[in-house]
Amino acid sequence: MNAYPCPKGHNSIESDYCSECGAKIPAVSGAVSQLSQPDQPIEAQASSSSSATDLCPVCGALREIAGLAFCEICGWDFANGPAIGTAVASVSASDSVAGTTPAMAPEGLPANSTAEPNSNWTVTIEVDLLLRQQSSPFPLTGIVPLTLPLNQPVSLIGRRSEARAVFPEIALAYDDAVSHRHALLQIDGNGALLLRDIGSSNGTRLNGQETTPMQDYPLHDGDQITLGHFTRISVKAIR
Amino acid sequence: MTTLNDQFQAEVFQNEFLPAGTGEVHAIMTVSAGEDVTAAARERLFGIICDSSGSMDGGKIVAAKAAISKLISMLPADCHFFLVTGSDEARLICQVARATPENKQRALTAIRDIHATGGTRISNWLHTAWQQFRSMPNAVRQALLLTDGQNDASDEHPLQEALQHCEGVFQCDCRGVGTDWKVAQLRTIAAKLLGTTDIIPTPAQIEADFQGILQKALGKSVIDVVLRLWTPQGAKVKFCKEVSPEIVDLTGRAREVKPQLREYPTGAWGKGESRDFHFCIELPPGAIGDEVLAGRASLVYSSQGVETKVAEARILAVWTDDDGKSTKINRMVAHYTGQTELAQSIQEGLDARAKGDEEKATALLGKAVKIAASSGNEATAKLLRQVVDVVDADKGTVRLKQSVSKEDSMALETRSTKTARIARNS
Repeated sequence: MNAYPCPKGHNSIESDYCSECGAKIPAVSGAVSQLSQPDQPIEAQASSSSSATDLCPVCGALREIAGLAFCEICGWDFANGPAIGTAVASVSASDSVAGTTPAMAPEGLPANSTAEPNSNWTVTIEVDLLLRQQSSPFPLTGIVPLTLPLNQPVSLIGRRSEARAVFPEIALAYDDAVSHRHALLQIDGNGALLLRDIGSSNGTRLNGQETTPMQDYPLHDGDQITLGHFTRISVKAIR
Repeated sequence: MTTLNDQFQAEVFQNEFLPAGTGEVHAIMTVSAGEDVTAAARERLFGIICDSSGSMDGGKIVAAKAAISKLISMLPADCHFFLVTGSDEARLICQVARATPENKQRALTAIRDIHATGGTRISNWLHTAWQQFRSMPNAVRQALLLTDGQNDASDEHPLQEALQHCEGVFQCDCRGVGTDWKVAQLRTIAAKLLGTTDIIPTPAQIEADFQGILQKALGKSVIDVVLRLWTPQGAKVKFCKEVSPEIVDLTGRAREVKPQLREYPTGAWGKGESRDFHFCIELPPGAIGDEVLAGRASLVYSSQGVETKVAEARILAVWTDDDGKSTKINRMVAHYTGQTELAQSIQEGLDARAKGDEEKATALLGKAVKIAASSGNEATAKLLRQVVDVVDADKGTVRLKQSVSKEDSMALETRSTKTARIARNS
């Protein structure tokens, strides 16, 4: 979409200096920064600077290659994602975009609520040593709890594998008792969040109870999913 | 200067001109939170972690109990609190509760039963605090850790693990009572948990200090702010330091978001708060006339899992053959380079003095006196005068005092990382 040709041949997503090599981008006649504004409703009021327009609205990462449909970091769908308003998205803009994916649009949220997430759910992933069995290895140190918004209708919990082309949304590389394809978190048409173990080797527990594979369990605020050696996933509903 | 949001402002000070063949860029970024930084009905959780090991017995534990009681009675009713005491194990005296009159009363009653006995294993205290803080992830999460002694030697490794665990979960200010604690040890905890370290020389001073910490914590309104730094291909971040109000080396704390983009935690910010950062970026040398962006630094905060970029500033590099331009050192960069050297001279100087190397100590502390005087860091200069007799501050000529109280020496060591700001338009 908004690529600025850099003198060294990169396609920069920034209009002032190349987002790859930092080289100064020659000014195009007129205000370059204006060009990127109209098709960026998400950033409606956030800024008058062009540099803000190609950041992922969810994780804030730079959009590496202009025109890329998904954020390389968090998987945000640039083209079809509902407007989440970085700070104060204009209401009309967010409505029109959000309408394209009704399943993920937050329900019952006041229209002027600031910084509204694009789904009603977040999960916090952490290592809980109390879950560890005697025979389990010790986890690496330095793993801090990570909170992720559930942006997609389906999020895979698993371990990344290049060889098998498994790229989970919720990747638990540090816990080798998690299957590559372990379980799914799905947001249904009513905005409810469902957990399904997809035939993992070591199973998935919901609030301490073993779940039956291939069966959907509706989740609620505060539910605890535990799996692998010592992984705890806490579910949070955002009102 | 770029302002993306009225709440924060970022500004970069640097000399962007580099001579040919070099690539080291220095820049100071000042960030200020606006007066109207608001957080709608932001919840606050204030955790108190108090040493109750045997060494606290006597006046210290009595004073600590009195100060904690006062602190709890001062908490506004809309905030939450908890209280942990620690020796070999941690004891949860009050779990997370809203600061209602009833809950406060219950806490005050429980405090009366605190007795000082046992050893010091801080990892256990932090772990208990961590469990409490985890219950309110969206609140402003501030802890206060009070201790008077050294951590048990066998707790060294568990403490490191506990700190890894707690990083990002809460912030913690550390206070040492008396003079039997180790500055480096508390500073490690405070630095990892984005807090301050200070000495409370006598138990009677605990109360006033606690009140200051509470006021500061209550002033925080934006939490979990990170500093993101983008650099061009081939560039290397040599260091990233917070240099005001205190020197904190953030270099090792970087988390790589993706190649070329890393972030550093900065914790919670309060209204009108201002901090300065020093970046040093090594670029591949450019040709005369080249202009590149050496770094794009932005401040990002998260709210309920959604991140918002609030300020951004650009660091430039322009190669020139004009020595007049490239040899100039930016005043801000020079100032904070000096402040870093000041802190280092003090720490190394005190270390040399403790080891009996008077010559080295005199030289280093003399250098510190000189920098403190020339940079207008009166607070540090005053502390230095407790340790050395200044003969000539401008030349850095000093004599070591023969008898120095341990409190004065520790006060200098703990506060040596506090920097002076430069007057903007002088």
